[in-house]
Amino acid sequence: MKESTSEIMQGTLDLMVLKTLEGLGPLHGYGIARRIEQVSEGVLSLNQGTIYPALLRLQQKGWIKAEWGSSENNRRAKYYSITRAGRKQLATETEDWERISAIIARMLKSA
Amino acid sequence: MSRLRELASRIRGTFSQNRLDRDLDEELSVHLEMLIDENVRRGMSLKEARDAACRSFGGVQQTRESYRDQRGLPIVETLIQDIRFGCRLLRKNPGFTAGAVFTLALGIGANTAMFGVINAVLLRPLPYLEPERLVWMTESGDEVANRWLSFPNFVDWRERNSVFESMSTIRGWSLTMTGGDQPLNLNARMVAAEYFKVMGATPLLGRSFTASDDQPGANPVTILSYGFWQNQFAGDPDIVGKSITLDDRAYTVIGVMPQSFYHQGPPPIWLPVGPQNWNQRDVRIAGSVIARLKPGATIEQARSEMNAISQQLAREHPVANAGANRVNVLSLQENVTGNVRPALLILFGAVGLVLLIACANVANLLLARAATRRKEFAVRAALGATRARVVRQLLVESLILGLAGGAVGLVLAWWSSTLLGRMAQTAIPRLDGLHLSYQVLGFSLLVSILSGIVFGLAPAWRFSKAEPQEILKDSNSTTSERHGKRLRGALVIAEVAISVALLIGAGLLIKSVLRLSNSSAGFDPSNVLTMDLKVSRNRYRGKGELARLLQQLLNRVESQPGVEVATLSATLPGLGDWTNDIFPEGQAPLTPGELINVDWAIVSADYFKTMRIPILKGRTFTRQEDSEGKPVLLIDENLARQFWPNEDAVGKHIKYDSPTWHEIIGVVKEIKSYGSEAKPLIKIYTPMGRAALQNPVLSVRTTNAEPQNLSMAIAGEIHSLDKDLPVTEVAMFDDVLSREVSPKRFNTGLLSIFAGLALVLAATGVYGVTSYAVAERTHEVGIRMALGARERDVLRLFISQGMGLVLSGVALGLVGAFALTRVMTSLLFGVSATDAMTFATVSIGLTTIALVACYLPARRATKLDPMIALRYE
Repeated sequence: MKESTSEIMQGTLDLMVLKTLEGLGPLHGYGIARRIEQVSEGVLSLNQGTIYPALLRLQQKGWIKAEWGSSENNRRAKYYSITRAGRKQLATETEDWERISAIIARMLKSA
Repeated sequence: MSRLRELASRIRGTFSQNRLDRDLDEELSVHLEMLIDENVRRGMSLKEARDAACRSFGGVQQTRESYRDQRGLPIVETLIQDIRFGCRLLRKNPGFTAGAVFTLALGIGANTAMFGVINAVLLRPLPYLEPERLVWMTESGDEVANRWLSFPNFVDWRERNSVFESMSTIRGWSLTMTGGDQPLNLNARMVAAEYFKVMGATPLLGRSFTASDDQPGANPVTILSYGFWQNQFAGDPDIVGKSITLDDRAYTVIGVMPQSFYHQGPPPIWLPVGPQNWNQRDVRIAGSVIARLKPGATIEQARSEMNAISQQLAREHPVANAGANRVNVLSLQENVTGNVRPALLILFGAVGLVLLIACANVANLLLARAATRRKEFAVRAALGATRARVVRQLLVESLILGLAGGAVGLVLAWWSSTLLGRMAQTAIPRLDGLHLSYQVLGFSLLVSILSGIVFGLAPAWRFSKAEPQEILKDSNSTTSERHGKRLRGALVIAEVAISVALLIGAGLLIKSVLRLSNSSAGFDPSNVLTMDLKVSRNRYRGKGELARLLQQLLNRVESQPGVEVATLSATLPGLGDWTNDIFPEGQAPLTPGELINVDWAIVSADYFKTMRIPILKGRTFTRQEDSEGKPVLLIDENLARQFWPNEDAVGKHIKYDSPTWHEIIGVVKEIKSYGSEAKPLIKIYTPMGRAALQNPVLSVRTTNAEPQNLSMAIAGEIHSLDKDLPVTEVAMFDDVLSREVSPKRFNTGLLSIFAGLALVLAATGVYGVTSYAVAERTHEVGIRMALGARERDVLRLFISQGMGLVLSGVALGLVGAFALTRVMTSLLFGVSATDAMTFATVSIGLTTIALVACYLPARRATKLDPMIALRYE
């Protein structure tokens, strides 16, 4: 593991998954993992397997839902999509995130 | 909200593991395949692509694990593991499991059955409107615990109180209904107008009593019970307004109560008390009082207010109310179940103790077995299991045992409930509600879980403490092992002690019942035929006319073949008497309120001969003295001793009821009455001719005639004298007594069963501990025998060890019993609560049985071949 890559903070993975699904529509686990890696441009190290417990957690909270469907290569795959409650959650979390990161950024600058 | 949804999803996840696992596996493999595809597309070889895919995916197994943790409830899952493991372990030791489950089933089953009785009798609310507001009241004071009150006192109670919404008297009242084929003796209830309002019941037909029915000179009216209406009048829908003949007077039926109304048995009819015009304050004839509290009023408020009223009345009428200055106020529930409550609670306590013994036995089994599992626990601990985790696993095992025991116990309880119901039918009120209700099932579950914890906790705590290194080194005797032995010893001591206490309790009860059923009561009930007569109040007026009829009746009965001698009396011996206040000759004048209260039997001349009560001095009265109402009487030896300790009581005089002096013409031996063992009673016997005996009991000592035919012949003779004179309750005196004894028999039977269970369990416990000691010390015995120890020495070794525990247990049990049997005093008859015989018999008996239980395994040790024993382990 390279030193420059960062571990994903607890809870931020959920936010990234929700954001990904909001932006791209229904997607399978692999697609979500790939998307997160692409966006982070290789800075985040993601064991792709770790998104599965996160996907389950989000389903249990009712923020995303899953259906079996077919991939572009005609493989049976589970597709996840964001629910209405998920969108609402994403909105509040995004707001929280922005507020907090602004505070932290100010903090780091002033100090 | 989302948290709740998560929990629900996790619970679903816990119970559909397999399908969800397949789902996940498919999803993960698809993911990997996609990764591989992509890598191949980028130009890797298949093998490189696969390796790279695995790297970027991370551990598949770890993903699965954390996914599963997220999906289900990890605590529940390990619990399920523990349960599976426990079940497997118990299946592997069928002997141990069966023994433990059976022991527990006995304990839990007995407790469940007993709780069923308690629930039906004591806990179930009475079937009336807001039954918690109903109270039962009688007068009491310094000399009397419990007595009826006079009608004027009742009126004052009703008018002066502010806590009751409504109030009524109630008493039994015996009447004869004529006009049908046969004269019918009715045991009616005489009540005040508000009675049905108190009980919260309204008539099915017609109306209930009003104030105008309930006063002197009112037209005679009556209300019928549903059963009486159905049986006697075939449910005639027009019954209201018709009239029936009771004691030769016409009564108008004004109402019929519904079938569901039930209080003091279902009496045939109710009558208002007012028309009796009982206006004397010193005649305590109105009965007991039943009343309904105002909403929000408490029994305590009622008690203090009624006591204050009673004190006022005592001040206002010091002579008429002598002796009464308090009021017993009981909830109706207590009144209905009061007689059986102490006995049931004692039995419940006893059965709880049986369960404790059962738990001790199972704990002992677990301790012995856990000793052989020490390695298992050590390995677990070495692999990182925390102590809590090991305790949890052991507790899960004991809970499985407890629940299995509870399940089998429930079957036993269900089966024994019918038996109990039959045993207790006549002994205990309200047992009609005895069935396996939710409360009973819940109780059984609770007891199963509790006992699982009780017997599992000690072994679990003990063996979770094991230090791994020491045990894995296989040192044979560790400190924890010695602790285990001490714990097992303590359990056996406790078992033996509890059994001793229970056996002594049962022994005392058995002795009481034996006392009751044999002739040591002071009279001989065998071969005596009894029947109740009921002479019309209105047909034979005055004492003379009545006395002549009864004398004639006796003569006719005695002329029957098969009749040895016959007597009439107000009550039967041994079943409680009337009481009266007397004044013996030569006494200092009594202070106001002072009373000499005696038991009072009204009898005809041959009473003593019929009942075989010995006349110690003097004689009984002649028939002539009886029918002429001569002022003579007999007393019992206790009365003679109390007032004339150094003189002959015959020839002395006594006043009762009236200012007339009655001469004592004889002294008879004392007889025992049920439930009066506290102090010897003093008693007078007065001739029937002086009291107008309206409802006498006829007792006939038979030679050996067939009682069935004889009773027909006697009834025939009586009806030839007066065809409207009802003859009821025909029974052998023996049977009457045994019916009276049946509650005691029930208590005794149950407590004996419980004590027997305790004995068997304790003996098994002693046997088990000695067996275990023998098994454990096989090696040592081998050495001893190889060194020349004889059989006797080996026997002594084990027996002295086992009996040491037993004797400590017996000693402890005797002390416990001494304290415990005091609470049973009210259940005993003619036996002291510290009866030395019973204490001695039980101690010796139990010690002997325990000796056998020690001897059997000890003898096995002596049969060991030293060579084999030495190689053992």
